[in-house]
Amino acid sequence: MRLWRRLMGLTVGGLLLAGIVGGSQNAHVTPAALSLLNSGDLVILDPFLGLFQYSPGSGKVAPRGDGFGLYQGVDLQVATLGGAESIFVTQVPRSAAGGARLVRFNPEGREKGDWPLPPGKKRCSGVAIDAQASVAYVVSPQTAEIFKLDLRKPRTSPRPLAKISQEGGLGPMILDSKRRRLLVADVALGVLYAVDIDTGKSVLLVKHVGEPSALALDARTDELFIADSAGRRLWRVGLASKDPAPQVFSKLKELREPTGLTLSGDGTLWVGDIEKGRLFHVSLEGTLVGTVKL
Amino acid sequence: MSSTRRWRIGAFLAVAMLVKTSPGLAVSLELAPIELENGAKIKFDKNDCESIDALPFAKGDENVNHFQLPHYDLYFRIDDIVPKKTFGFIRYRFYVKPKPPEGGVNECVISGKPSGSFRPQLADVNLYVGEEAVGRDSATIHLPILSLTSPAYLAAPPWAEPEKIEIGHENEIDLQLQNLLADWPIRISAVSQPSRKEIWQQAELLVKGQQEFAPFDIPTGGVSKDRLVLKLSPNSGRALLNALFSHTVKGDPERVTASLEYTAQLGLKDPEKETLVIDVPVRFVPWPPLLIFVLILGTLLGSLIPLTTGQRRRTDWLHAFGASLPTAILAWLVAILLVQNNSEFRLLGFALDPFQLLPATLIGALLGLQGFRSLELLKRFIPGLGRGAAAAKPDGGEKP
Repeated sequence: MRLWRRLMGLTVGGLLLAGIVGGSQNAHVTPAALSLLNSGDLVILDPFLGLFQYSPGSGKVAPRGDGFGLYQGVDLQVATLGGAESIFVTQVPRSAAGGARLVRFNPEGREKGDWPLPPGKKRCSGVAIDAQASVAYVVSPQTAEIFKLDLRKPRTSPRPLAKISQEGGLGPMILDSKRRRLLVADVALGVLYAVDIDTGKSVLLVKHVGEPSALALDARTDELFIADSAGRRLWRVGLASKDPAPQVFSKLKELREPTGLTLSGDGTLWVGDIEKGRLFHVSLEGTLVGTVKL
Repeated sequence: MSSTRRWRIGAFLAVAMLVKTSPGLAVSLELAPIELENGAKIKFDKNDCESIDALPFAKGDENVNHFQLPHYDLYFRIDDIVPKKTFGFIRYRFYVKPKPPEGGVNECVISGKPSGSFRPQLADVNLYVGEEAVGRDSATIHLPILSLTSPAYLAAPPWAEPEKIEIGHENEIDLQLQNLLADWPIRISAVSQPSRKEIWQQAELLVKGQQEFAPFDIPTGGVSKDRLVLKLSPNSGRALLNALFSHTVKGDPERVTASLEYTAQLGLKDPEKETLVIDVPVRFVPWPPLLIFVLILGTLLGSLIPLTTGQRRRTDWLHAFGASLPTAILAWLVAILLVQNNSEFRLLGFALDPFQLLPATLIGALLGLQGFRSLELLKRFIPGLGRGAAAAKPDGGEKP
């Protein structure tokens, strides 16, 4: 009974605290991660406030859903599965209780299913979706592992795909479907690995890209864009090369801490800056097209 | 001028321009790993610096730490320290300016990877900066070391005993908070108020003397007394009900749970907020005259029971009640004395709390039931007392 009351007390305390931390709608949106909807609108992930939608046509930013509750969002990826567009978000618990998970939201921000990572995994970071295979890949930076999740069956156990034996901090990830591989960045070491999705084997692909906090792949030009949050710049990597070398694509003086990156339909880039609390629209030449204050 | 001479002059000018336009020689910065308490440590990655146009802050900026080395000036800003909890590292950004005649500024981003559990602290870190052409300097700097899995650094002493809450009154409980950090003050930035259960008319966490919560600091290594108070006014009816059915001292007390949000005042741009949950056990204490009233009522009821069952003569009832009442009061006072001195008062094998309504009634009822025999109990405690009464009623006033 005593234990029950104590647990109830802690739960109520936690809920009240969550109300304080995540309750304000007037707070500025922190664009920690970005992804593009089929409509051309952007989905913005604020780690604490939840999902937001930005419409470049109207210039409006609107919240989607009711926030993440007792979780904190880390990364997101939009994908269309079976004709339904979904937003996949990796989340970590705010308190000591609970574990890391992948959550599926509809475009309105309603939760439609979740996939917990194996017990003991408190942290997760990047997510990549293979819509054709209905599979999600999620990074666990805690153990430098990549897990494979069956999106047809929510709450099923994830299967380990690969373990990258480096003492770094694996972060964003993207699917290079042309080569059937995942490109996963190590934020701490400033490198990029390529992981074969059939065998799970990994190779070091690119070095010296600062603090790679977000990735965007342009399948048409076979180019990868990397947001370097420490170097305050964007890198471009030609994937067709056998030995790809990163080149600085854009080093705008406006960038302070870019951690969100996505391609728009016309090949231009949207960059989310968490320090500035702004979205930057970057041209194909790497120049600034526009700024959106969130 | 011959074409060869023109070519040489051109080449010289090109080299001279290259040297002049070069923003400075590239340097490297290396920080030695450090060992912390309980086997915790932090390792820093070596990073080649990158030349930038100028220092990104004004001279005299209070947030900038400046170190003079033989060949270089080294700077860092506290708000450039960014913990990357998800990825398990902390980003430090340094600026290195070679001393004249060399020019330029270098920006060096270094990541520190902590392992083990420790509290944020200032630590001496050895660093090596420079390159062979200019000279390599070493120095020891005082650097904030953050922890990504830090144990709590604000503590509230736990309650050994439940706090007594008087029914029908406004009660104030002082909450003591202790800053466990050795190097920085802690700011209490927000509170979540206790859950407003129906048992409370008022349950609020406030800064003493203020109507609303306002953020405040606890100094380094200090204890905050009388700053934060928990104001509690119980809903009398429900609290009485709770007091009625609460019978033990060490039983399951009512709990008031609130939480504080706090940050270490390191000067970081976006410090991570920590949470301290405060869980206060409380026990409702009825107004003392009410306790005496229920004690008398219990004695009265107890003394009536033998009468209704025909075991006590009607003429003796008042005397029996009169004899048992002081015994009941004395027993109740003894019980209070025992409980106040961290002992226990047991009746029929049950530990009872004499400050609660039900136990007080029970004490009265049991001694009222005993009638004149209750004086025997008194005689055990106070020799000689009640001899007269016992002599007057050798049979104890009860029917044979």
